[in-house]
Amino acid sequence: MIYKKEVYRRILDTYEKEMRPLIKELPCYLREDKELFRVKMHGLKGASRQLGKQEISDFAEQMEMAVRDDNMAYIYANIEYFLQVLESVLEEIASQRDAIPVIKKEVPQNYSINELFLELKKAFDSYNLKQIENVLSSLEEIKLNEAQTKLLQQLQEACNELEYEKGSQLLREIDEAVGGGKR
Amino acid sequence: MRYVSLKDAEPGMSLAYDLFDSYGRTLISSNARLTTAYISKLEKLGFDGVYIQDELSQGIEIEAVITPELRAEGLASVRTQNIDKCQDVAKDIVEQIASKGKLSLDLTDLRTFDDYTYAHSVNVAVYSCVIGLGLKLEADDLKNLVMASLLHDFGKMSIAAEIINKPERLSAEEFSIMKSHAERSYEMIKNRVGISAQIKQAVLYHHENEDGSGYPHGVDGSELSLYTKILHVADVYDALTSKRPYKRPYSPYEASEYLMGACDIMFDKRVVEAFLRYVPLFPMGTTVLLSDGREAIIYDNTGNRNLRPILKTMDGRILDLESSENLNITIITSTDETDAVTENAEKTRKQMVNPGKKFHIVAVDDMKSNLVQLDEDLKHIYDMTLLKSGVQALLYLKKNPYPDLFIIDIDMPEMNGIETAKKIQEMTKHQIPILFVTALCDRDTVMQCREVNAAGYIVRPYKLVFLKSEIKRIITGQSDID
Repeated sequence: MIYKKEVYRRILDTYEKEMRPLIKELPCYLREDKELFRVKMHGLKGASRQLGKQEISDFAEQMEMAVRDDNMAYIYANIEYFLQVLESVLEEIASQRDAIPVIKKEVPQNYSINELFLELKKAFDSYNLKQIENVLSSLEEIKLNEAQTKLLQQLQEACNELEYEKGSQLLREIDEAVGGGKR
Repeated sequence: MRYVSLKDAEPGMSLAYDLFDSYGRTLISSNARLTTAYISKLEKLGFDGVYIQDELSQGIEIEAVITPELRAEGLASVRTQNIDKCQDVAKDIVEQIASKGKLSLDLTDLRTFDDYTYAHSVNVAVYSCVIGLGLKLEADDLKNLVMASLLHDFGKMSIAAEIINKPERLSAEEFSIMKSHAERSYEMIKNRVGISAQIKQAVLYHHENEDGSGYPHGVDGSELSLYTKILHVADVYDALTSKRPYKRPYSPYEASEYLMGACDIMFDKRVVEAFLRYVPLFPMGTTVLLSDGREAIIYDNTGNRNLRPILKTMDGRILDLESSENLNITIITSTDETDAVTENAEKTRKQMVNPGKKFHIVAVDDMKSNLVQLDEDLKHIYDMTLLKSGVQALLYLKKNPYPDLFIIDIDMPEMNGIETAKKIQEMTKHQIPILFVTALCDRDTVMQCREVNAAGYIVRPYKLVFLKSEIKRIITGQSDID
């Protein structure tokens, strides 16, 4: 599949950010929740295959099948190597992504910081991921105070995990703190 | 010789290939010079383009798989529904194709709107024969297969042309009439002595799918004969690459992507693979747009050059896409045009339903990577909302207007896609169609999808052409293959 560069960058970036935490999480799932481990392997298989990363996709499929067959010996024998392969795929993806220049979004001139946060709240409320990403990238370009920086990090996490409701909630709190009429 | 669309045709150009009317009579012979009157007449008849010979196209030789005379004969025998004559034509098609040392499907069939069904049947016969040869069928089997192809759409001739050629969405009743054509064709031949049971079954079941989602009986791949499977692939390929009042033709590249995307859902993979060995992704003599903005003609696409052909640019220079200095040049495929077609459907829908609003799709998948990929693939045509779980989807539905379509992954933690679909259907009283896009492709999953009346089912990695076509079919009711 052929993508325009910036589109391809977004896809690589999303994959890298989503799969990176799995390197730590998968061993935990394996200990605590085998079904979740299997579902994650299944998701990794599908997403990697769509991106053309066949080797890790096939490996994830083998791991998924092994869980289905309750062949835990296979999983324990291979999990470490699997994580190494995943790590190298993520490094490759990251370097491909970083080779594509980021097109900086212009920060809207007429907006105050609070207005940008309000825009962000609207975007979270309406489940509009693209708009959330746009406003977040605008906010990244602005010098924020400590509290705002912390909030921005939490909102980025909410965005990465598609926790729209959490994003709305975080912004509701700041909205109330700002006091509406002051904007 | 090279292919030029009628909008680029100019008086004085010399025809390289005969043109026939829907009765198989010669309209204009090769070597004749185009005139303004000819061009205008051809436009009125619904021709899309012609083959010409000129200095630029020197060295490009394209051989037809069957002779124009045999094609015309096939057209006439299908039009008159002359079954005996079809037997003769079937035999001749097999003989001509089998006697060729090297098969090439480069030559685009030139046809009018009027003769769609007849020309389609002859094309399907040719494609079926090519697939059959690829699968090493015996001569008698090939003849039966070609015969089934010539007969498969006989039933369409008893359906009103207003339905067959309707550019807008078919009503439920019209669609049901349209779908009856396979049974109508079968009724016309079922008592006929001298036509084998295999031919009859292939005619009846040529719209049945591997996963059992086809019509008329919804039988699955295990009950379909090889004849039927071959006919199905040939039929869909020709439908996709044909221009119809409601759709532009898919390029061979796009149609190939569609076939691959629907393997094991609609088609038997072995059959598709056998066919694609013969399909030129970029047919010889056609003009393509390059990523550096230039236009060029396909000069040599044989063997390994199917993906990276040798081209002739408009100033007559040879350009080899395989050579190292040209590796950064790609052929622009016409997916943008696919978007345009769907955008037209979108426009129609806006007029009919709700001006100023795009179709709205909600995608549900626990992997954000999958959601973002879907978003990038579809956002130019549809309003997309991306959700990470079934629970979130239900919450979303409580707070927001219903979307036009749900695309749902199946294997998700907490609430899987099937449960999510059931709950959505309960909440919305089955108002919203559901398309599953998933990496699961086992029989149980397919059966579960059918039990919840899913509108469709696509296996990851999906082919974008197939995905878009399925979404268009589900939302607008316009299928590119019927």
